[in-house]
Formats: sequence, C-alpha cells, structure tokens
Amino acid sequence: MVISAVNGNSGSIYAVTTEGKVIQLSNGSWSELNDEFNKELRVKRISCCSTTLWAICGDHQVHLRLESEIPIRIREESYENQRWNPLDGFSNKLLPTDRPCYSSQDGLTDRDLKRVNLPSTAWVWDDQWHLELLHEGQHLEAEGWMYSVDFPRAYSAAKAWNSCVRRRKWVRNRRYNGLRTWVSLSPIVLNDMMEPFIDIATGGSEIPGAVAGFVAVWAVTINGLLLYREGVNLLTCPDGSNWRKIETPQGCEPCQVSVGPQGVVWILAWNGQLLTRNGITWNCETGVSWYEVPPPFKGISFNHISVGPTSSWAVSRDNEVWLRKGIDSSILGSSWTAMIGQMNLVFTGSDSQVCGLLIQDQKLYLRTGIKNEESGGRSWKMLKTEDVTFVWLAFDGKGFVQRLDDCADSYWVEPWRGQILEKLRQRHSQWQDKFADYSTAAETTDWIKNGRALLNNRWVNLGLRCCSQEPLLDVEDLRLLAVEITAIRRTENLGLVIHYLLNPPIKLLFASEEEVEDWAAHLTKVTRTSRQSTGIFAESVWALSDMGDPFVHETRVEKEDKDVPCQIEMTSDASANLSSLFIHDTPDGFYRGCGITISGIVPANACRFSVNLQCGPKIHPQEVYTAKRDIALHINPRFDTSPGSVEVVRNSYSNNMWDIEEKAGEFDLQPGDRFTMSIICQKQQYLVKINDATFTFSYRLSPFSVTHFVVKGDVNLFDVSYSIPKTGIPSHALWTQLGGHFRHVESSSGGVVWALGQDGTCWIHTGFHGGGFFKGVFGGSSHGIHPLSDEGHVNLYENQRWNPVAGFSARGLPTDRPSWSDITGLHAYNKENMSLPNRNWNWVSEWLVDYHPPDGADREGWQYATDYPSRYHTYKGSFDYVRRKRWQRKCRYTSTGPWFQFGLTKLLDISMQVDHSGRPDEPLLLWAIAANGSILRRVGVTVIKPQGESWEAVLGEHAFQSLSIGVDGRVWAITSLGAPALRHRVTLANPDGVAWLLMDRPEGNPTLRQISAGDIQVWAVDSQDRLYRRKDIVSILPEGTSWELIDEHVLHVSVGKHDQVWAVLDLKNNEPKVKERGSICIRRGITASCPGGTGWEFVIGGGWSFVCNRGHDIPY
Amino acid sequence: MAEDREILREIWEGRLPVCFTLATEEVSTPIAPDPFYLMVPRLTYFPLVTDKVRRHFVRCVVPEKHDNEMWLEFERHPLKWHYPIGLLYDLFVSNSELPWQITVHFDKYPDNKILKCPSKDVVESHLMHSLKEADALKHKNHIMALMQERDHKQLWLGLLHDRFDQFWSANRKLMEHSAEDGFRYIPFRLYVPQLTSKPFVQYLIKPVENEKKLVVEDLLQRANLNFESKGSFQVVIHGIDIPLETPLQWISEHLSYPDNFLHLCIRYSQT
Repeated sequence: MVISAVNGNSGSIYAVTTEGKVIQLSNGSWSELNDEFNKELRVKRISCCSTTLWAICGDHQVHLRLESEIPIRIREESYENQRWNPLDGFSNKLLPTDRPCYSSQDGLTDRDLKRVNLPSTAWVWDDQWHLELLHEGQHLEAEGWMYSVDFPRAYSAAKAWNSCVRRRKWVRNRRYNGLRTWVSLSPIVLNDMMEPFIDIATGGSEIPGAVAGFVAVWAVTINGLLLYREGVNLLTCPDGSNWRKIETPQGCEPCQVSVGPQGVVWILAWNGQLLTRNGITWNCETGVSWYEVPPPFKGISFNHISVGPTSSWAVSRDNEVWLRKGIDSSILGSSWTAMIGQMNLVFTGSDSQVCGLLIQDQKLYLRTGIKNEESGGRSWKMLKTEDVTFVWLAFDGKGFVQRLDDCADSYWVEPWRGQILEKLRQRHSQWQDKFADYSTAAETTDWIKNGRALLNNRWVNLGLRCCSQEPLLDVEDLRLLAVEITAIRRTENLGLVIHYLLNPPIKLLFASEEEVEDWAAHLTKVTRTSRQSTGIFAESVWALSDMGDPFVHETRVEKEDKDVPCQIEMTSDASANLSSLFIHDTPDGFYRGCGITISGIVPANACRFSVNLQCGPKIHPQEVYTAKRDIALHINPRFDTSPGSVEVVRNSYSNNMWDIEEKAGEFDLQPGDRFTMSIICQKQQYLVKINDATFTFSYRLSPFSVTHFVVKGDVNLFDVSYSIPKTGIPSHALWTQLGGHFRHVESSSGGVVWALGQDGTCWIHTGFHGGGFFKGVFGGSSHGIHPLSDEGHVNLYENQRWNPVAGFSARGLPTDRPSWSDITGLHAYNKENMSLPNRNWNWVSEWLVDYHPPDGADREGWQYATDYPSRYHTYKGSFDYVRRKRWQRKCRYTSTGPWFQFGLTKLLDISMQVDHSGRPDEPLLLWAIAANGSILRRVGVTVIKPQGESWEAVLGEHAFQSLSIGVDGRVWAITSLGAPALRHRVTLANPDGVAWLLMDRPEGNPTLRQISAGDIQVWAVDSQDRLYRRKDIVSILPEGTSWELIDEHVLHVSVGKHDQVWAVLDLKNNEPKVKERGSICIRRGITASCPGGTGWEFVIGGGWSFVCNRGHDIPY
Repeated sequence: MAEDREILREIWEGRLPVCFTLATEEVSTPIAPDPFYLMVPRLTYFPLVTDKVRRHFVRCVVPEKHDNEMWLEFERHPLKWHYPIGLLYDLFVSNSELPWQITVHFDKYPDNKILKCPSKDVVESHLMHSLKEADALKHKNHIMALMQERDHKQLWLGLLHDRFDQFWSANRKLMEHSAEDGFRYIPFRLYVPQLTSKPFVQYLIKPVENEKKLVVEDLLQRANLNFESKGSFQVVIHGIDIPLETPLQWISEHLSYPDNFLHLCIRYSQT
C-alpha cells in the first residue's frame, strides 16, 4: 500500500493574555509572538487555522498574521499579442475579433500591465515587469516573441513565412508581505462609520474536497452582521479578497460564530439561540440555510460556543458546560450532555481536543481523556502557565494533547505529583554508583525465544537463542549466526524479512502484529549484541524501507587516524613464492583499514622494483609492461640512481601522465636484503612501512578506485597478503532500525541528521536508539525518545466503463480492471478491505472523494479516458469510454522514536552540505524546499545546535522539487518542471549564492525528479527511473557540460562527500544480484578515467525506497 | 486509567541493594562463604530473585539440609515471602541503611510465622489471588473474570522477568474505571507499627464521595487510629513518603504494587 502525503499541520496553541498580548505554547514553554511593527497592538480575540492567526484587536478591526516562514509568491502573467499587417509589419493593431493587446494566456481577459494591481496593501512587487525568455524549455530570442499562424494556436520560437501573429509573455512576481507580523484588513464602512467587529472564527480546512490551503473565515460585527471572507487560501491568498454578508433569520442577530474543521458553522444569537448552517460543501462555501439547534431544555441560553470535528461545546450563562454530540453525522447533532465542572469559555481544536478558560483564576484547563469513543473526555486539568492570565484562546490541537501528556511534569500543576516523582528519582541517585557492581536479580542474559511463522506458505519453527557465546537463530533447519544477519525489516501484512549474508533474504509471516514486533525487537537486540553495537553512529549511511522505517548502517571505522586494528581476513597466495611478478585483485575495494603486506628478497643485482595500486580492469600478466592503467600509488625503490644507497620514489599515474614524485626519507634497504613492506589505507593517506622506515602518501586518486595491485621488477616475493577490515564490507554490516516514519533522511558530517515525515514535518535525530516497537528492549531507557506522528492518505480508485444501455456503470469488460482498485488497476480493493500497513496507523477520516486529483477532475471528481490504462483528463470527450474517481482516506501514524520535532514548516526536500569539517560550532549549510516549491535555508545550524535558528527564504523565479548541496557551496536543484539548475558560490558570507543557472535536460528532454551532488559527481534520476551523471565538472566549470546516461531502473541515488555513489535499484536493473525492487547498491569502478563507474556492488536486497550516504565518512 | 508512564516507570525501576549472609550457626564449611550482593527489584517477591543466592550458599550448609527451603531474616524478623520486597524494606528498615543486610537460613523454618513456599507456582497463585481480591474491590471482580488466561500469564511473566511493558499491557485493563467515579473501592493495606492485633488494617473506602475526590489524608482519618497523638508521622510506600493531599484514585492507579494493592506503611518520626 502506498501512503501518500497530505498537507497536515501539527498542533499549536495561542492564548491572549489579559494585557492583550498573544503567546504561544511551543517546546514546553510559552513565548510571546513578537511584532516589531505593531508593538502597541492589543489583541482581544483570536482564532487560528494551521499557520494563520485572525484577530480582533483593540480598534475592533480584523488583523491577520501568518506564522510561517515560507514566502508566498504569486507570478502575474500577461501576454502581449501582435498581428502582422503589410503596412506596419508586426504591430499592436489587432483585428476586432482578436484578443486584447495584453491578455491572459487564453486571450479572454484583458491584462494591461498598468491595470494589474496588487490585491491589497499586504502585497509588494518583488520585481518589475520583464519578459520570459523560455518557451517549453527552449530559449527565445532577446525580445521573447513566439510566432503562430493565428490565435489561438501552438506557438513556436522560430518565425515562419506564415507567421501572422506573435506574442510574448510578461511576468512579474508579487509577494505577501505579512509574514510574522499583524496586517490589518481594510475595514467595512457603513454610514461613514467603520463597522466594529466583535468575533472571528476560522476553520473548514478539512471540508471534504476542499482545495489545499482553503480556510473558511467568518466574522460578526457589533450590529449583528455575519460576514464571510471570500477567497482565503493559505497558499495563495492568505488575506482573502472581500467580506460577504450572510443573512441571518430575523431576530437572530449573531453575537458569536464558530467554525469546525469540517466547515460546520454555528452562530450564537443575542437572544441565546443556537443556529447551524446547512449545505456547506467545498463548492458552496457559505451554505444555503439556517437551522435552529434545540437547546437541552427550555430557558437555557448560551454564552459561548465552539465547534469541533465531531461535537460542539457550549457554555451556558451560568457557566455550565454542554456537549452536543454527532454533528459530523447529522447537521443538528444528536443530543446534549452536561459536563461536570464549570467553565467560562471553551475552545476545541481540530482533533476534538478541548481547552477551557475559567474567569475566576483566568487559567487554562485542558480536557483530558478525549477519544473517538469518548468525545466528552474525563476531567479538566489545569495547565501550568506561570503568572500569565488569559482572556481568549485559539487552538489548533493536532496531536497536541498527546504531546502534553508525554511531557507531563513540565505542564501539569499538581504539586503532589511533582513531589512524588522527585522523591522517586532521588531514591536511587544517592547510592546508585555505590552499588553499581551488584549483580542483577533477573537472569536476562541467556534466554531462548521460540515461535512459529509461515515461510513459503509452510509453518516453520523459529528459535532465537541469546547466550554469552554465540547468539543464533534457527529457522526450521537453517541455522543463522546472529552476526550473519544484516537487517530485520518489517513489511506489510504481518511480514518480517531477515536479510543475511546470502541473497535472497528469509521472508516470514506471523500470525499477529504483536508477534512481528516482538520478534523484530528481539532479533534486533540479539544482532546488535552479537556485533557489540552500542548507540547509534549517525555519520553513516541511512536508509528507509518501503514502510518508511528508518535504518542506519553500521559501517564504522575508527574515527582517529590511527592504525586500524583489523579483524583480518587473510588472502595469502602461495603462488607468490619467489616470483618476480605478482598481480592480485582487491575484490572488496581498497579503503580505510585495508592493507597489503609483501615480504621478499631483493636480488643482489637489483636495479629497481615497484609496487603499484592500480585502477581499472585487472591487467593481464602479458601486458603488464605495455598496457596503461591509472595508478593510485606507485612505490618504486631504486638501487641504481646512486651507488650504495636506495631511493624510494612514490608517485601516482593518471590521464597518461606521471604526477609529482615524492622521495623524501631514508631507507635501509640494499640489494640482497630481505624486506617486509606494508601499505595501509588510512583516512587521508597511505601509511607505508618498509622494514622499520615509514612514510605516508596523501591520496591523489581515491583509494576506493583501486581494483588490483601489481608487484614487478627486480624482486623475489615470499608472501603477499591483502587484508580488509571485517566491519568495513558494506554488505556484511548491520542495518539497525530506529523508531520513526519518514520519506526522506538527510545526514551530514558531525552527525546532524534531519528527516522529513510523509506529511513534510521536520524531525531531528537525538542521537539515541530505540522508540517504536523497541520500547523496553534496550534497557528501557526513554532518554532522547519522543512521541512521533505522521499523516498520509490512502487512495482507492473507482473505475467505470460506459455502455450504451446504462451509461457509465461499474460493469466493465471481462478484461477490465476491478470496479474498485488501486492506481495500477491490478489489485482489487474496496473500502472495507483496505487495511493499513500496521497498528501504528489509524484511520482518521472516512472515505472521501478527491475532487482535486493530480490531473484534475470534473465537478463530481471523475477523470475520463478512452481506455485503461491511459492518460486521464477532466472532461468527457466523445471517445471516452472509461472514467475513474479517486477516493481518499486519511490515516495517522503514531509511535515514538529518537527524533524531536520543531516548527511547523512543511518541506518537500532538504539537503545539507557534504564538505563540513565536523567541528561542533562551525555553521552547516542546510537548504530545503518548502511545500510550495520555494527554497528556504536554515540559519544557524551547527553540530551542537542541529535545529538551527530560523528559516530564510531564497527568492527566485522557479519552484523546485529536489535539491542537493555539493562541495564548495554549489547547490544543485530540479525545478518542479523537471529541469536541472545550479546555484554557485553559496558561502557563509554570501549565504544566498548567485542566481540560479538553468541547465539543459539530458537528451530526449526527460523530466528529472531527483538530484544528488558531491564534488565532481552530480547524479540525477528522471521520472522514467533513468540515472544520469553530469559530465566534466571541474572547479572552473562547476556546471559541467552535459548529461550522460549511466543506467536504467534506478529509484533513488545519493552521492557522498568522497563522491561515492549509492543507489536504490529497481527489479529490472541489469545487475544480476538485484532480485527485488528496492535493492541498495554502491557504484563501483569510479575513477578519473572512468568517472561513471563500471558496475554496481550489491549491498542489501529488496524492500528499500531511500538511501542517504551524505554523512558517510568512508570513501565507498 | 493509569496514564502517567513516567511515574509507573520510576516505580517499576525501584531497586534495593541487598547483602545476603548465611547465618553463622549454619555454616558447615571451615571458611564462612562470602556475602552475596544482589540488586533486587522492589516490586517483586524474594522467591523470584533468590535462586542465585541459594546456589551460592547451599554448598556451605550440611548436605542433609540441601533440600530444605531457604528463608530470610532481618533483625530477627523472618521475612514474609508473600510481601513484596519493597514493602518488607519499608516495614522493617527504619534507619534506611544500605545495603540491606539479610541473613539466610536453611534450618528451622519458622512455620508458625511465615508460609511455606515450595515453588514459584505458589507465588504465582498468591499474586493471582491478590489481584482477584483487589479487582473485587475495584470492579466487583469483573475484569479479572473477563481476562483471558493469557493476560494472567502476562501479568505473572511480566513480573517474573522484570518486563514493564509486558506487565502493564495486561495491568492497564485492571486500572480502568469509569470517567468520574473511579474505582468502586480502593484496594489498600495500611501497616501501622505497634498494632499487635493484626498485621495491617483494611476497610472500604471510595475514591470519590459526594463529588469530592478523597485524598490520602481522608483515608487516614477513617482508620480511626489517632496517629497524630503519637507524634509526627509519614505515610511511606515505595520508599518515599507521599503527600497527604494526593488523590486516592490516582495513587491507587499509579502507586499500587503488582498485586494491585497499595501497601502503605505508617512510620513515626524518631524522637
């Protein structure tokens, strides 16, 4: 199942203090919303919806504030149209039937540049009118004209003999200037008086079918006018266009209005009556008529109302709290329930949570225990608010109460609880160290876990033994040592996949989800214990499974540049005995911790011999003196240069040239001597030992490109051994799962790791391990583990075919897709049997028609096509015989994990610089793409403060979908239209860099979708899963020259700081070891002469969707 | 419902360092065995954690006593195995000296003072019995009766293997209650020193009466034991004195031992 993204919003709570200030509860403390420009502003009432705050201030006028850092930019366009006539050539003299001189694209509206005005004072122009010189990816000439035979036709850049009309496109950007400040809306003037407002309410963001960013804003004035703000959209027009008056029944002048998240509107009249609006839908935002809600008993009149998603809360004039249930199923709701406890004002959040305000103490109370089945909750709990007193509240409470519960002691004001917790904690602290060596009572070190699971449709017995010697897993007859297991990955439908050194992995199915979690947790614990893994090494490779579970790869090598203690696998070759030519390949690469040891004797008449670490295809013995290979390290002891002494020359060879020789150092090696030479690959250099003398050789070519080594010349060898550190082999290392659910993880040097949820929320790794179903397994520590949530949609398609009798109906041809299916049409699903991947997911809505699917739809949500599968369009053409409708149901993921959330900004993509030094206080470049495609950069990100300080917008013409920061502040990106772009010279001093440089697409004009940049390696994937590499990038030509097609069937690519390339490959890829969709591989054979590499090295099999090696310090 | 995981976790993590020594008169070897040091969970019962202790000492007693049941003694009080360890400590150790010095015996089982405990199954049935008794007070025994055998096993294994989540996944059902009223009665036992007639007092008390939430202080008043006359005192559970204004419902949900009883000890300040 695919869970697609939604534009959710996480909860926030805003309160108005007695002094008229607005304060916000975030990260456990209240902070004031500052406003540089309106310091004197006194707020009376507020209402919030997502990131907007609507307020009525001391002047009784409406003010608006956007708590967002994402700039809202709108591009105004106007087409200048000209027609050719024999007298003037091309001129503005058009035919009477023609479109205006300046018009919209379709020519129907007049768009005279002078008459295109800013919609309100909150907007500013970002630039002047200018011409757009790109037409369908092609560059136009300086004047930007496009030619055609007549209006309206297809236009082309070239002028032809029959070009009678031409047009060009003028563009100008306007920007909303009211971010993080109060903007006053123009008042309503009646009888020369500004009409004073008394109440404001927002909601409606979850009206079924509403366009993204829709907000319903209703207001009430002192004279009893009920007003609706038209055209409000968070993404395009936060302030709306104008107020529309909505009639209310005679005698029912409203004094208060409230809007629920599903758009339900209630008004409270001066006479105490309650009315609800009927007929509000996504295409009829203000509804059609009023109904009176019957009061609980005659004579009661209300003072305050608040509409939530499923029930409305009301406070009577004697401060009794009443709850009206069932407003989601019937317009009037079902029944009234009286709540225990008095409140003056009650506020509901978008997820049914409720806050109350009591006038006596002006403190906030939170209603606890509200659940789906118990919409009234259990009791009121006072929130700790220091000395602040409140008069009003706005509350967009998604997931908010859960978070409050989890950090209970910082919020709740129950003194006895704090005392008890404090005393409980003190019990141990005094003596903990003193008795640290006492043995524990429970014998938990040795245990055996047995169970049963389905393997290839057969029940098998499982046995997991954890003991001090060698933990192991028995799957029926197959015995696996725990150290052989490389990953434990959950799948849908109660599956658990155990990856181990052999491919394919073991795929088990369990009877219940509890068992899957239990086995996953225990297996993870055992495999980590067997590998002596502790903690999490964030500067490694991260990956996401198809389920969105994050994993970190444990290929760690000692951080310090010291001799790496190798657990050596010896490849000793007896054929080396006394030969003078030796060639051996290094099948697992040559990287940090690898080494070669050679022992032999120098013949008495020796002149020279050499040891070469060579790249490229393995050389054949017969061509060893003729064929050329790049040489990463050449060690050449020369005995013939000056008699009686030896000179050891070190060099490298590439591009058919020898580089600069190094020969410093004194060596005690004479013809006739025995010797031992060892070469060890360190962090930035080779460490070479000849007998007792040592020297180093800094890397010129990446040691990782070494494929074989050659010893030749005047030497007789006894023994040669090639050693690699055991932990360093990527396909042998363990992938450890962490709690969390993401669609993107980005790591950087220094261990800064950011992740994006499916809903675009940012999360930062706390550096700990655990969360999710691991609770209690890793010593039970909850340190660094926080609650975590995510939101998504599940899609379902309703398919219909036309027939002459019934018109469109569910009855299709026998070969057709099922009438209810997934997007591919291959799998039949229906509303009842569509289940969520695991129990972390819950449905949070019903099945609703999506009226705004990606390619658009008609008013009922249908998309038409001539046949399946095809391109769908929004209208029914004469030859359209099939149609489909997309249904969506929202679901929410809740769990825990070593991540903390900050801010509410939703992002599409993030990237951090790869060439950060790792110093704790050095600023780290971090750029992101906001949900609307605009570019943001995070200010103040360092290793010690990974969340940084604030977002700054990087203004530009284009919207983007993917970006990646390469070396030297080169930001590569893909526009939302799929074209690559580069921004140079982003430095700390010039954090925005210089303007975007748009580049050509690869041959055939494919649409790129993802990009990743290292130093000279920039790789991209297109919408057809083809993998490209940018050619010829050098520091003086950082944009390179062109794109080179490398491979096909690649799902995702990641380029690291040493230009190492990791990718997720699809099933159809040619690499023979890839047997499943989503296999992780490393590009091999990348050298200066073969920069695209030669093939893939398989790391782990199927089921992965994402990999990030950008924080990985090891050069493969 | 017990929702305050932070408190529950702290309570569960309660540990006591214990130093076990074999009673000198029972040492049969020339050299007395070393004391045995163990960190024991407060919530569990001694028979569940003393296998190692037994193995350590049994070789130092005369062979004919090897199969005898081991029993423990502190300052001449035989320790009742069916009390949770934390309760025993709160009851008997007044100077809160650590480690807790406990003497191990294999001889002269004080049958008249403590019950026999031939195996861990006895502890299990004792725990189940206590849970049923507590549930009878809280929910008229509805929940224990509705629970499956599997849930009962969860409770027992959770305690036996010191697994918080396993235990609480079942125990949380026992802590459920209606929204406003709370439990029917609070299951508690009040241990008052110098009360010779019986080891503890127990009576029926509701968490909410006349819409007023009762607190620990109310509970003490209804005991009619006139504590104040004997000088200042503390109510101790899990090694801490609890504020008297703590609501009974909350304390019962969060501070009960695994047998679902609040074992409250009255401790007078030393004068």
